[in-house]
Amino acid sequence: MNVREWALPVYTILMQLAVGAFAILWLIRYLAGSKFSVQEIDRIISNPILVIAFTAVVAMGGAHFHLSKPFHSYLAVLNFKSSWLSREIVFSLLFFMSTMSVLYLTYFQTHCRSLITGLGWLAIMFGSVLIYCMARIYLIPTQVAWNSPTVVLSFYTTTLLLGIMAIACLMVLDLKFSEIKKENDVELRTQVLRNSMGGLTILTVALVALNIAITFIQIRLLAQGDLTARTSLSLLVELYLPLFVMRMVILVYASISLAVSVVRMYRLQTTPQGLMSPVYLSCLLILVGEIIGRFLFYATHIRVGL
Amino acid sequence: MILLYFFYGLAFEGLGLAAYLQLRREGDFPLKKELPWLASFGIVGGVAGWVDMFLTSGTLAEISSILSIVRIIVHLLTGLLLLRFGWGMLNNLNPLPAWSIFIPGILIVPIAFVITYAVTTFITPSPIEIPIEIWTRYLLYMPGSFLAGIGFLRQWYAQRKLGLYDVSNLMLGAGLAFLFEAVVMGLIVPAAPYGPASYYNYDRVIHNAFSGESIEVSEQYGLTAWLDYQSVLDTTGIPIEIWRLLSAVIVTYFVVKALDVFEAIRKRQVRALQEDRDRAQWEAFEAQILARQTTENWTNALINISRRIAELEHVDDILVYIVDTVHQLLRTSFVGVAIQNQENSSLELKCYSNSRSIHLVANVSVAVTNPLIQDVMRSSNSYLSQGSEAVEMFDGICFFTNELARAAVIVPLKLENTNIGALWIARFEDDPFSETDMIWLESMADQVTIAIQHGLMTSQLQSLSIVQERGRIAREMHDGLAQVLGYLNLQTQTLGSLLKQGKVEKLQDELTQMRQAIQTAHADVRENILSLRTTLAQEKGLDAAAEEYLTEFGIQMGIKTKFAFQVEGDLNLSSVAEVQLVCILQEALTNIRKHAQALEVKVSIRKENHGGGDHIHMQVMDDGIGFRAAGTKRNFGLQTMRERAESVGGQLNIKSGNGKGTSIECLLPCLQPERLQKQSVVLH
Repeated sequence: MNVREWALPVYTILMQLAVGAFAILWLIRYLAGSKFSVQEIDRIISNPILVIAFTAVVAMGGAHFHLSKPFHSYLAVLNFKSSWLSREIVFSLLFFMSTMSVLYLTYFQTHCRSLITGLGWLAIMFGSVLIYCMARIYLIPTQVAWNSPTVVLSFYTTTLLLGIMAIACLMVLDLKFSEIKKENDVELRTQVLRNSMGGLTILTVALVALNIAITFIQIRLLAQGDLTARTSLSLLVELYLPLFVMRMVILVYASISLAVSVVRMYRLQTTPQGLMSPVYLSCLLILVGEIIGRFLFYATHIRVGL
Repeated sequence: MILLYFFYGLAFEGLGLAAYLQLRREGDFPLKKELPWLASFGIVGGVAGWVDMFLTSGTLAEISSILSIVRIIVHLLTGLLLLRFGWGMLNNLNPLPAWSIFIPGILIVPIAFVITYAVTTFITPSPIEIPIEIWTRYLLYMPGSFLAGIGFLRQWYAQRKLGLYDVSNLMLGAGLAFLFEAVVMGLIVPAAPYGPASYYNYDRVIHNAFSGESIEVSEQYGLTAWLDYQSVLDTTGIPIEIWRLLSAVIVTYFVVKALDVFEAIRKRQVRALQEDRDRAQWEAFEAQILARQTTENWTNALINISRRIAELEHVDDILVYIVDTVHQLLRTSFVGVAIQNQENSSLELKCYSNSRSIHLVANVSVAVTNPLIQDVMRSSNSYLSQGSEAVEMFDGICFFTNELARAAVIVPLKLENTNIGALWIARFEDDPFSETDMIWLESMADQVTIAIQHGLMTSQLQSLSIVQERGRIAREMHDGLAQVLGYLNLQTQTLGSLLKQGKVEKLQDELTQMRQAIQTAHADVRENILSLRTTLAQEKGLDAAAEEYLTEFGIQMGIKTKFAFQVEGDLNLSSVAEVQLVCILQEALTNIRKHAQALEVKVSIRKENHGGGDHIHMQVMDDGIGFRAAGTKRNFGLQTMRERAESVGGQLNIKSGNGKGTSIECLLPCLQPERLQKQSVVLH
């Protein structure tokens, strides 16, 4: 992979992170809404939505570096009926616009709660379709290693995994910021985060396990495939073996490290502010692990190497 | 080249040593917490330079492979220590703004991509030490130096704001030196077959993963042409080692100078702290003196008020004095006292003081209707303005002035759990009163209440005294004049009978007895008139009143009198005690006239010191027939005299014997004159 081709992992990883983060944030909003005032919850999720929207902008901007004619990118939508790439671009735009609408309403029209809720679920729907389109691009018969439903599944697990870590990291940082600024909603933020961290950690561990399982299913499928598939496999277990092992280790270590920190928080009855470093480190490691995974995904198929 | 590496190592060792020596010094200056990291960075960085020297010289060729491993380790360690030092410089010396908490969150994605990219470069065909050195420089040296540079630049900004320009210039130099080091140590890396240093340049390689073939690309982009050693040499004509040596020397120079400056700042801060402490001590001392003076002023004022109350001064005069005292001690613009009217229907202004004068409100009724004062009357709780009240709330607090109050304290006047009025103070300036002011005003309100209570009691006592005096006069007339008149009535009837019977001699005897009875009655009446007149005329002074009474007594009774008044200055007796003293003198002289058959009476009044306090000693001595002192208990006149003396804290001694005359000594305590003196000095 040359530097220009890194634009692909940048786009896919960031867009998956944005969609996953929005979905997890909306799930937290839905669950917390039964215990706290929705208006208060909307106030504390407004900053994370801003970051998600910014991430989507960077992802779409980054994708343009992959194009040979970036200024003609809008023409890609014309093939919506026949091209998964066109559908991916269209749904990227729809996800982005719905996210921006939710962002505007949570900042400036806080009373439109039903509209905010509806638009949020719509954004998740657009995001889910976007991830499906993103994965379907690679389901090509000529690319044996990619042409498997496990690719679609792995894209969804990565989306949720990155989303969970991004939201955990953002909420901890936001809580710390509120604490430094001595804002009056620190207690609320603390309670929401404390209630959420257990579920987020369980989901993280489960998704990491699922991700590893999918990877080994893919390896098994490649081993049972034709020469091209076996060649891809040999690249993975020979040239890129250190990266492959590193990815597995990083994902396992990050999830276990997060779980230990969260269990300690519940057991010692400490505040979630103390989770800032463990959550940040786990988020960074899982992000690195998933980027390595995406690198391996592309590197084992693209002829141009480093 | 060997010399370059030697001096490069020497510069960093010097930096490490200087930091270590500073670390051993006592004191707590801002950079001290980061000094261990700086010292470690300098020492390990120096070692790294000298390892490079040995590798370049080839003198230790037999252990070059070990040296290469050592080089990798010390470079990594140096980078890590620099990063830690840089983070401490940025974050610990001056706290970062709150929003900076989000920077790691924003940077997490780029950091993750850079780390992943760095990891992927390790599987390229280049030797392992090349990517290690490249990523050590990119990920450790460059951010470490950059953070340290920014940290010093923040110090430069902070010191400039403090006006310490000499210090700030050194901070600027150190900051720029670290930024320069970030470029030459962190950004310039060895050539390698991947970016960003070389990928787009002469060493660009495309690796075919299937065939294992590599294709070189000669396409030049130019933007990163200076990022490797060869490009630096081509562009500047100076090898990167010289640039790095220059950077090491500059960093060492500025940081070592900055260490001294931090020590100087610490000393300056210690000096400033000492000055602050001295100033604070002096201010505390002055505050103590002021507090003591204030307490003394208030104590004296309260004593003075108590004395006036004890002296039975008129309640209006005491009120005026209290209002004047409050006005002066609390620096008020207005002081007011209001009392409930007799019907308890409204609160009426009784006395007030503004900045010009003090006035009693008499003959007119000025109703006080301000809601704050009314609230205090209702709740019985004192009120202290907080500064947030609307100006209209103070409308009707200050009378006979156009100015509106901006601060006020109102306290109720409580008499036996009933609010009888209010005392309040106000300021026209925006200068709020304190809780202490309120406490002082409450103590003054107590004094007002006591004065009013005493006024009422004095009035009742006066009425009672008049009744008692009338009874006494009635008794005197009944026992004296009425008896004589009755006796004369009977005698006239007797005289008529004797005249009819022609008994002239007997008639003459009866007439003689009648004349004696009339003379006795006349003497009693004159004495009563004299004593009434003397008692009522006390305003002329005790000495004048006593002397005049004694002179009159001598003339009327034909007894020789001597009066000696041996008191210099004021008697310092309360007015009640003065009255009692005159009454005791009158009673003693009456007894002398009636019973002593004396030819001479001596009266002396002098001041004596008994038990540490001044007393007035009065002695009444006669040369009469005397009496037996043992029987004096049943004597009503003597008993009255003793009770009068004891009622004002004094005592009475009687010495007498048959044919030896009588001596009556009365001892009454004085009020303390020095307190009265001090109080007048403080208040006026």
